[in-house]
Amino acid sequence: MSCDELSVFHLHPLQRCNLRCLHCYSESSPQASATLPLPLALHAVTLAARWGYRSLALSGGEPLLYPGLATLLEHGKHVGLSTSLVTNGLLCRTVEQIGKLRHADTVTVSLDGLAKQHDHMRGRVGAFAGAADAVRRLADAGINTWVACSVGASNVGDIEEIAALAACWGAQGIAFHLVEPAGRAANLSRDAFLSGDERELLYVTAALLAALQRTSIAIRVDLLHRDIILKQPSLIYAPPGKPCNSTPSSTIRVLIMYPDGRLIPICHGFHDRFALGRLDHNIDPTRMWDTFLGQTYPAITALGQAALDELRRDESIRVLNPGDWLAERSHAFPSIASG
Amino acid sequence: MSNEQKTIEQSLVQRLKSRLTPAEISQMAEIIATLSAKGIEIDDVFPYGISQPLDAISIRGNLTAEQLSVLGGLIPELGALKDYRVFPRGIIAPERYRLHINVNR
Repeated sequence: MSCDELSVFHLHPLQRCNLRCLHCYSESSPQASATLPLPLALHAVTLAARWGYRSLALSGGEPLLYPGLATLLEHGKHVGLSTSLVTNGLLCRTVEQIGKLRHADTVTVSLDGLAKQHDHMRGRVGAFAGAADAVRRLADAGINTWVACSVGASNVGDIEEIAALAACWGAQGIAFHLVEPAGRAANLSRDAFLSGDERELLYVTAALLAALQRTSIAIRVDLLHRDIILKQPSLIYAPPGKPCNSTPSSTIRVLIMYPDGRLIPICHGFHDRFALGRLDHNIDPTRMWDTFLGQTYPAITALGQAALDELRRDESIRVLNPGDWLAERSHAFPSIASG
Repeated sequence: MSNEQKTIEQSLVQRLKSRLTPAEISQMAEIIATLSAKGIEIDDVFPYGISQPLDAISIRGNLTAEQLSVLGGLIPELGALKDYRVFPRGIIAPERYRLHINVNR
């Protein structure tokens, strides 16, 4: 499978959410007002397809609060992208609400653990029951439904039960993602995050659970072992210089767009100095890309090389999420101007 | 979820958390990374020995004929390997092989 086939345009059309979760990486809330105008969102999706991205992934904020959601998903399909979104599930109650998702190839409902933990993180009693109902309704409607579960120190021991529940609800798969100290989660205490040993335990458990449960639910974990990255440094953009094939989707496998129009490479939370720029109808996207490739991409590969050197030096880093790891390091990396 | 399925899940967690040390978990992670990079699926892990220290960690998985051909290159990468065996699955799956690895503590 080529890099292009794995490429994702990750669009956050709004920051508004019906919940205010304790660990939200995008710091979404009912009070957040940043919203991408629908014409600009459609323009961005068209551009992403032209740039070679194969998949459109929507999150937010809560995508079901975005007025143009159905139009956006339909447009994504129209320009040839596979479409998916992540929702907290609380607005998947009615036929009309679920009907907005008819052009989504995959709908993922987010979880933060079992009922008590989930409701605590979401700040709402009944949020877990609502998410469970959403998975059942979506699956019953014939939509390919996944669960995404954030994992921290308080729920790493529950992942088998969570996976089993997701299977019972009708989910096709479950993806485990580590809570990292980014966004609102930066305010959590240090012991809320997994230690190195616990990350390895999660990595091993998920791999074995995937084998055991392969007939009932697909299981993924957003972690890679250091040995795999050391053998394939391109996973963290380590090779220096310009890529041979410099199309956007083969160069930057994940492109993120914020509600204010900023285009960010690789992972939500990357430092702004690595941004492609802010898209609007007056910007020439070809010029934006060429400028990024000439001026900013070398800094990304330098960041990747520094991260690779750190990985070689520090054997205590055994399993990691490459995107989150690079995003964290992007904030400590010297500015492009100073080299 | 069946009772049998639930039992399997609990026993997996029990085995990993209570029977393996952090160093053994690290060893497991390395082996899983090495095997999964070649698409080899692991479906069982069992710690041999009555209590710590364990005698060995047993890892079982499945191989295709294509994966069998690259196994020779992978074996040297597996740390603390005690022994390994490959069994043809036979008539039920003639193109598949059963892999059994024992890792020394």
